[in-house]
Amino acid sequence: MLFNSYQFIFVFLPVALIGYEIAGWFHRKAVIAWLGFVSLAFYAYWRPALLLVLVSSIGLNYLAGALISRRIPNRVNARVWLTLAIVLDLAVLCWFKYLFPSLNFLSSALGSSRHWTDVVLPLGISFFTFTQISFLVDLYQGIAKQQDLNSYVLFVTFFPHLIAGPILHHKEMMPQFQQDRRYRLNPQDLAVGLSWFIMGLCKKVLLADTFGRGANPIFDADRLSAGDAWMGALFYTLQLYFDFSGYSDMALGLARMFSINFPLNFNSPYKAASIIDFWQRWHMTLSNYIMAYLYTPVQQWARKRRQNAGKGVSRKDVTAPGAFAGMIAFPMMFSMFVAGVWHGAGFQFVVFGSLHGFYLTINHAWRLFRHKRTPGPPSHFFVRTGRHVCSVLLTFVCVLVGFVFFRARSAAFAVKMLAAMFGISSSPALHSSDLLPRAAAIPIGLAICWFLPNTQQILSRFKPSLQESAWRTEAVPRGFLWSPNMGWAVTIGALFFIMLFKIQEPSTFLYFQF
Amino acid sequence: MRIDLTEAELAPPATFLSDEKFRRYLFMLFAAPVVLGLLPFLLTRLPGYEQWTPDEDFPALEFSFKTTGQNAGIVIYGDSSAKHGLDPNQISAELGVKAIDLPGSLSELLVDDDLPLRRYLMANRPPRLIVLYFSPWNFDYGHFDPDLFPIYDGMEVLMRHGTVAEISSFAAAHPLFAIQFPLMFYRLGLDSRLLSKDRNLRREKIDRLAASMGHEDSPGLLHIDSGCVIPASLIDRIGSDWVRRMGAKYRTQKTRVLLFAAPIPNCTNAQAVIDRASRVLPSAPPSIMPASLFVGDDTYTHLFAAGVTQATQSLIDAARPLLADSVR
Repeated sequence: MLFNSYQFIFVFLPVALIGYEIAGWFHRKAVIAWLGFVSLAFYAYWRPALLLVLVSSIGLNYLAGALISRRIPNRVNARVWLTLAIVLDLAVLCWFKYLFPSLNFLSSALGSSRHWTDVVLPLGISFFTFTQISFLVDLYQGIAKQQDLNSYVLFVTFFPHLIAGPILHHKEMMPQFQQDRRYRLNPQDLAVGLSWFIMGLCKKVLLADTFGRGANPIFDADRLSAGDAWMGALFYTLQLYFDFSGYSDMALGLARMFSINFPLNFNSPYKAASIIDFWQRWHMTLSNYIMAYLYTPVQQWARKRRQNAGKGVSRKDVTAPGAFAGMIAFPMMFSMFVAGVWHGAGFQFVVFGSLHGFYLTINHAWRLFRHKRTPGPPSHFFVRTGRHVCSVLLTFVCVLVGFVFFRARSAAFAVKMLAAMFGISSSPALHSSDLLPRAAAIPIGLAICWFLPNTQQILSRFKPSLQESAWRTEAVPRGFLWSPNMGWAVTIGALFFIMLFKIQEPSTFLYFQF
Repeated sequence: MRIDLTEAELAPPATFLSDEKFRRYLFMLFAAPVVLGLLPFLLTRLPGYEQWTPDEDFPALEFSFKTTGQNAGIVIYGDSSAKHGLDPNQISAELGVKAIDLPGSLSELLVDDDLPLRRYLMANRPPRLIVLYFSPWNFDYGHFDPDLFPIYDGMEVLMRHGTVAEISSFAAAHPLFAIQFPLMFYRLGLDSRLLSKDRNLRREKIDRLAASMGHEDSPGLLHIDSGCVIPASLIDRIGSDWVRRMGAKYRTQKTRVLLFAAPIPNCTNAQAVIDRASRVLPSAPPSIMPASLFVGDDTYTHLFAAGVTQATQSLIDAARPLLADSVR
């Protein structure tokens, strides 16, 4: 079920909220059970048969958790259960997501005409698989505690995050499910959550879909002029931004309606002044996940190898090229390669991930080696500002190049498009009458990304999300700070109505495919 | 990765504002869309709405409700094949009885059923003959899935002319459509650049309809090719329940009812339509006319002006004996 559909807005959400209120009259456990139940119904709405995949995955992982934590007494080493569960999780993920696309890729690479029919990808399979793997790893390491089944089901399936994240960590969620508080509808949370949800809906419907209509014909074209290629890349870069940002706002807003705070997932990434900064702002929960469960373990393994070989592993040692390659570049390239593949089975996703791995490695090297120089006197305000603007623009162009691979139907097409963008090869313009009027929206989209406060800043007086950093109001102009007054109510209400008639043909979110 | 929640993070947000303030905010937030949502329902009831509605087809549908005192001897009611394919003035001239067409469309029938005919009969003397005139594949319109058809026209007519009971009954049966009505109203308004600017064109259209007693030339430009094939989806749709029942409802001692199937284009499979219509329809099978006389749209039933005289003549021939039998 799509958040931007009438079924969700007029039927599912009111029923879920009313049920939450009624369950709250009884007991916390009734609330947890109700939210788990409606989340499963939410998932089953698209294809009921695929609920079996989700339920089986939850059942098997919960069983593995019980075996690892010895809640089910056994003598087998916990590591064996953990390995088995992870292998099984990844095998299911690979079957649905990678096996048939990989076979088709190999088939065409080897010149065979055989085509394997894809199986239907269960929505959100990457998200619920990764969420559960991290829980099992933490359970094994003693960081997590085995939960009762209802809480675990809700942790994995809670509908605002089930399909496209944010990727939740048990330590962020479980305390909120077990907190001794009043489980009833709270007017403040409803007001903040609903306003946030509508702001996200606006981003999706008014902005992302508009830019998407510009990007699609260009990415479907066979030949492109330099102007078309730039336009297409900018359209898509803005579409993806507003689509994912809108989705994240809606997810966080929905959770807030039930008085549950999610971690931030999106924090004005195009304002980033470096690639490291970008990944701390874009899909933040995925970045955290990759850091915690991929980058850090690989880096620790590399450190241990160096230590065993009698080599230094201190901060100073890392500045040596060999150590940098082993302890920073390799873990980074590996992690981002996996992050790329996580997004899809095509070669273009491998390039996307590897390209960002390369960017991040360069960025880390720059930080390490530049800091070796002695700092000069503080520079003038204009110099600092100019440097910052250049950094933001350079980061944006790097990200834009990466997104060409992310969106392109193949890596070869992405290369062709980049060649057109940078004047290496070019064809006559597409001459589509629709494109030029739409192009006028590009500066508006960029201005929104670069100069306006984001939604959590707008809501910062009311504790949006878990991170304390999102509660700071200092940098936000007063006029943008949301408060429950008549002006905001009428504006948000009118926007809501406009969205309702714009979503008569709802479109899916880009991150649903991952 | 940061994994522990602090006390501050678990604590509820600062409560420097009362719950009452948030309740009022939520009330105002919902009031805005409710007011905007109700506005189209009120606007459609305003006098002169047909002159500035964003729906270009609406003036034709409105004609049926502006016929008080016409007291025609022959009343034609049907789908768009009647609106575009018959000339009531020709019928009047040949049969010597005043004829009127109540223009309709399939999407209107799906919502309103026979509302225009009911309203006409309430405001006029009973006619001697009611002609129920439909293309062969629309005889059973009441059983079609409304999801497959754009039904805005019909909702617009219902909201303008329906009673509270009629509107409520529709809304109860199709709640989503009732919610969609104001949304479609605004979307159509935006698509047609915020309501019709050229009122003169609308007025001319309304005057033309009044002068022609409900006939409107088909707006299409392309004609059907001679090698055409009538889609199987249309042929499969041929049924009769709905119109048969309507015929029984209106047949009285004073009023005869003629069920009439509109002509079809001479496509390669026209005979298959005739065969099925002969078996299923409670009317004579449709006549076949040259494909070039039909507009090339997906209805396979809209005639160009050049075909109207011939189609009208077929109806006159069928109506003449019934009219002779009827009580004067």
